[in-house]
Amino acid sequence: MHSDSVIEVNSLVKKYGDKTAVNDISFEVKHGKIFAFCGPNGAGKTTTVEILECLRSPTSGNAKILGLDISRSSDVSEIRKRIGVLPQDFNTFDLLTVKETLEFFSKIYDLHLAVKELIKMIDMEEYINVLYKNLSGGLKQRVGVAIALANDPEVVFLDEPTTGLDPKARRDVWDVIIGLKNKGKTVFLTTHYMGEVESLADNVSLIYDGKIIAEGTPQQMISKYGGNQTIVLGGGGNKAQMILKKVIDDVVMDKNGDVLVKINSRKEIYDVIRSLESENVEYDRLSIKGATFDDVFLNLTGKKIVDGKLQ
Amino acid sequence: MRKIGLILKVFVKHWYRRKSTVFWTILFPIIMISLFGSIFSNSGSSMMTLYVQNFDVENGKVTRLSQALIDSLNQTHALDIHYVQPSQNLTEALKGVSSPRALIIQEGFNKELQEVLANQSRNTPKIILKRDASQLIDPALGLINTVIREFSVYLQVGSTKSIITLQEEADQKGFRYIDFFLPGVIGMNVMTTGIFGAVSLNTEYRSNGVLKKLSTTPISKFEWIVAVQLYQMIISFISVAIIIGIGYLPLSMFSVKTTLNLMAIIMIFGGTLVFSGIGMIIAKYVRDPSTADAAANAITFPMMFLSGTFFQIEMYPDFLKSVSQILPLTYFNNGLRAAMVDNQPDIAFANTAILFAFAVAAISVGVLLTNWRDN
Repeated sequence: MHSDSVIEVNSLVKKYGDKTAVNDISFEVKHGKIFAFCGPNGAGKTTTVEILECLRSPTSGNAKILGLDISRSSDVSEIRKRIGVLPQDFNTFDLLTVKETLEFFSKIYDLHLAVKELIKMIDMEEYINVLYKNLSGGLKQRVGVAIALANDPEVVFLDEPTTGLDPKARRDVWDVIIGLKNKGKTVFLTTHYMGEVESLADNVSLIYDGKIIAEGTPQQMISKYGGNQTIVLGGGGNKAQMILKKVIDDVVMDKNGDVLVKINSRKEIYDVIRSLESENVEYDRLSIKGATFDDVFLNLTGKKIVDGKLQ
Repeated sequence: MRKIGLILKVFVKHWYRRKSTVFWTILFPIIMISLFGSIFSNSGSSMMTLYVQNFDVENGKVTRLSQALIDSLNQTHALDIHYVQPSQNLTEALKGVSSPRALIIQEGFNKELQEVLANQSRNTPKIILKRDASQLIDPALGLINTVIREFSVYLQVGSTKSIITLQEEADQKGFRYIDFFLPGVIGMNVMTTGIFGAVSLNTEYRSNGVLKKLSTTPISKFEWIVAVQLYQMIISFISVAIIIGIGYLPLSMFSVKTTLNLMAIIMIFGGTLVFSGIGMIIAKYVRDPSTADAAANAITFPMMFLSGTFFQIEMYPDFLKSVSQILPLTYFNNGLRAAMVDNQPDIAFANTAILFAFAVAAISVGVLLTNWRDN
């Protein structure tokens, strides 16, 4: 194991009958980083993370968490004591209060954080006596994160922690995740939200159809795979599309009538503006959009992820 | 042990915070016992079996008049007559029969009756009716009285004077239907608590992800199963305490005569294990909590009716009697009645042994089938 690697995965394969859910993947996660494992639903994210959490056995390959082998039963109990897990679609006992829930999960571990400290970490002091079932989705996820931290783990696995949350709740969970990094925890985050990767991750691996198709920092990947800038002509309509096609190859109009022009150079920006001026084309607004992590996935696979599904 | 205690504490909190579970544990048995108790507390069992022991035998043959009386009883078609040989001990012959009735025709019946008919004697012959479980109103008693009166009238040709005395010897314990029913309610409740409890705990917590979360912690499958079992025990004993408490209330209309003893407690322990084990097996195959109740009902309802919870198995058709023999609730009910009502420790012990054999099988299969984590 490399000196600062806390997770090391080598040639991991998981098959369910004839279907290969995880197909020979390898990666490592460095200490104190937020690592995003990103891909659409069914790509193999949860299978991989559940293998690392010792919930499933790999068909072949191996993985080490904190230097401990996930396939060795004597190591598994030690791994469980040292990791924290927020499973996908997390749920807990609905008729316990927040305080009772955290007390229960803390006391499972010989070494654990005080409940007060956990509540402070997720900023839920005012909800300690509220039953879990009466919390909003975002607050439930924050309780889940607190539970994952009950044993003061060195590595925290968060499997789709913001799925289904509204933007405000999602931001609140992000704040908690950034707080974990600030405390020196290593965070393994699975997600299909590209914005989440861009905002939170230090490193990312893109998984698609069971295979890792790209990895690096989000900015490296955007630079490498994000593709060109796009001029967006709001309300440009058919006329703008027709005129611009004479000077630029890649011009499309979306369903709102906005015209999207892919440009390869600064010169093409001037060409576009000059054509619009000379032909008196009317439009509402003009903006230049840089590549995002969405473009990375789109350019690598030819498909978009919308709500976790491929389109 | 600490982790088992923690899970147990969570279950208990959930129990008293969930209104439906409180209903099923406390109110449902109260409703059942009140309903059936009110209907049957003063009435007899619907069983119309009559045991007849005829001592009036001359030269190895049953006397004419005693046989004629028995034939009259038989012709009502409302009494299922079983003969007990004069050489047999009646108590032994009735062992294991709940709420039996026995008619004893004494030696000399034929002779005494003929003397009365010939006006040679005024001592009317006696027939003894023994009722082990003497309900205040026993439909069979009225029927037997009517047959004897009609038989007297027939013999005297015109006179309505009673020339046969029916002497009742009711058991001093004075058991009634409610005493028969109460162990049945306990059996039913332990069964529903065990099966429904294990099914709902396992399917609900598996489907909503709680089991998955717990399996990422140092809690083991063994600790989870032990906690579930202990919780079921607690709920079962709460239910039983309420049922018995209601039954025993001196001011209540029931005032049962049954007794809760060590053997009964051991049986409740064994019954909880059996039915929790069955619940665990069902939970393996019913993944969806919304269908879990239906699956549990499909098992508990037939078992409830086929195992003598409400009515004695003796009155069932033969094929249903055979089915009842493979149901653990049958042995639980029979054992509880033997322990609590009939005071027959040997029968209670035999049923307990069979019940624990069921328990070992059900729990073993249940543990093997219970998935702690999917793979």
